Amino acid sequence: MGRNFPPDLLHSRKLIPCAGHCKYAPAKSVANSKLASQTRHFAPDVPMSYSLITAVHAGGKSADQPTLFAFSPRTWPTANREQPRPNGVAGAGYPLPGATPETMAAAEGPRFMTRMTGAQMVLDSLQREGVDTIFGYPGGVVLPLYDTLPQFPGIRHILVRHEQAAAHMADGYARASGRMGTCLGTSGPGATNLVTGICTSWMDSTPVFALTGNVARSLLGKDGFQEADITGITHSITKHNYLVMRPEEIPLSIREAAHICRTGRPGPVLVDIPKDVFQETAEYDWPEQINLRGYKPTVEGHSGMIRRAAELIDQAERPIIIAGHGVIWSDAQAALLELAERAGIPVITTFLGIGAFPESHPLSYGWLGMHGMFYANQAADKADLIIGVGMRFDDRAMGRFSAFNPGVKIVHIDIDPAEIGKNFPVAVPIVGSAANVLPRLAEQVKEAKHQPWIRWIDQCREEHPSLHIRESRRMLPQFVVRTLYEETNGDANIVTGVGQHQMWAGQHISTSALASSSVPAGSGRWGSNSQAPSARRSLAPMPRHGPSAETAASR
Amino acid sequence: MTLQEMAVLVDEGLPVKIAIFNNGYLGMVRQWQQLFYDKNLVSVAMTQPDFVKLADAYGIRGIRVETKAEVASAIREARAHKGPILLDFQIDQEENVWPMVPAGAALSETIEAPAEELAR
Repeated sequence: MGRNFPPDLLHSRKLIPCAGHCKYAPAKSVANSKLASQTRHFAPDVPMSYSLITAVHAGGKSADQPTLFAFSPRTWPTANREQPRPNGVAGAGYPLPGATPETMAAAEGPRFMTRMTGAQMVLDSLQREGVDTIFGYPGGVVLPLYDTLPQFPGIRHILVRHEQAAAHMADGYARASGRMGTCLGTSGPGATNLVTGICTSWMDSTPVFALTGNVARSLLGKDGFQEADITGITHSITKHNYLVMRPEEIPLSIREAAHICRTGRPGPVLVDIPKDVFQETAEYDWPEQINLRGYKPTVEGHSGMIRRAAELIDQAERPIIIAGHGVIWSDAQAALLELAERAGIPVITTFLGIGAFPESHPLSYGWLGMHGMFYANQAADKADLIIGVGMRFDDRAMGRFSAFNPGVKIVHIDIDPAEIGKNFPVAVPIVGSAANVLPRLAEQVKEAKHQPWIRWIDQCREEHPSLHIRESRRMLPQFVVRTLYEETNGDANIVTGVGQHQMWAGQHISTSALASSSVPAGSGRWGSNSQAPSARRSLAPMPRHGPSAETAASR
Repeated sequence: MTLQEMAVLVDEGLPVKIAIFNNGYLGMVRQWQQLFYDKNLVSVAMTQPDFVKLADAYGIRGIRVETKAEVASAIREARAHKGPILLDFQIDQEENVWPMVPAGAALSETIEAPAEELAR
């Protein structure tokens, strides 16, 4: 740890033990508590990074050595606070309901009074949010950030050649790992080059954290060199974005942004930081809890709605499940399998839902849509009940809305209430996570088989086998795709761009391999396929679906 | 658009296998123009660089696959190769994706591959 810090930072560190008289002493209400008696507090007078404090902390665990704690005066709900803070944020404002100083101390653990530059705060905050890889491209206003990067050996920076690659790699990283992908670009053209990748992430609901620099605060709005109103530009393609005007707000902004990014329906967020905010030193106040009044995703489905849905499923003669991307993001594949098997319901997926249901299963009938299987399209069109899970009934999947299966009843399960009823009227809406709703639905439905309906779909599949690759002396792309799949034993992680090859890959590569893939579907971004694999392989492989991320194709 | 990122593969030592389905066209757009715009192909035929030479310029091994017989062995070679590798498959230029639901059509109007295409 020590060798990665600049020498002057280590050697100039001074810790002044204080006997309880300095302003960093805990409030009187806890001065006599057990916790207070075990601590001594220090008043550091140089900036220290969190990593350094951790190293010191780890070394002082024995009883006779005081652990390095320092309570920020802002932890306590005292009236004589120096600066008013936004409402609802523990540690920096009013206490949460039911909080007492003791409970807050116990819940939050040690608080460190440190002063850091904005750049250090950014990297420390990202590190606390679990970010271990940043895809980026340097530029003028993010120089302070790049200057600070070596101080954080836990964060690996991948240098790209164009910011679009950074955004697409962050997207690919998110799809491969299930975690938040992070990309970084400078101001102006650097930020605008991220836009397409952010839009891809927006359309396909993947958690991407975009960090951009901006010109100094004094130049904002004055058409400075390489200035762009990136928060305005990405307003409609991010779940939320931030322009951080004070370094003290960096930890809160990043914590909130990461929370918004990953929870509910995942989606991109952007944090824009002016150059001088990176450079300014301020107190680092990491909010242990955040409270976003206007953002409370509903995870638990309404039990009354689930009961109604179960009734409809029991009554249906030709039910079908359409599983989408949301099943994969909420890891609800097992629950989906349970529901389908119990109620005997055939399952088709959307293009992004490939991998939500094992293709080898007898109830699996491929995917529907513009280039989906003939029999899957027919099944969707002739069903009397559609259970849509984690999908959005978009035009590519459903065809012309007005001509789609008149009279069908739809049960729509989605974590985003905005999708429910957007394109089709829904008989039973269930807002919640697939992982929460599907098991509860599975235990309420009656066991059934629906044999005549399944026989009908099987018959359709026999008459219209959409996946047959004809014999030809030409090198057919379908043949190449199929050979790729077979030669890699179905183990390869496949990433595609957009276009014909994407469709052929979707058709001829079996579920488990494509499930670990990145297929930019919603925004149709071409050319991004070369970027995502770099992201996928660079991370310590964490297989989300399919046999393995350490595949034949990545050896 | 993005082939310069091959440099990242080299920088980071990432063993990614790139498979290019090279038909010399912007395929999906060409398909639509062929089917729905009376075979009026506009701005879809594209000169392709020699991808093998391009990969070589980045220090990546490249293999051009020109016949159907070479496909399997090329993929096996790519699997065995440590490090990044590029495969340039010279696929059939006129092949279309089927089944298809034309834009504006219903799912019940899914079209399957026409007989003359199946005969090619």
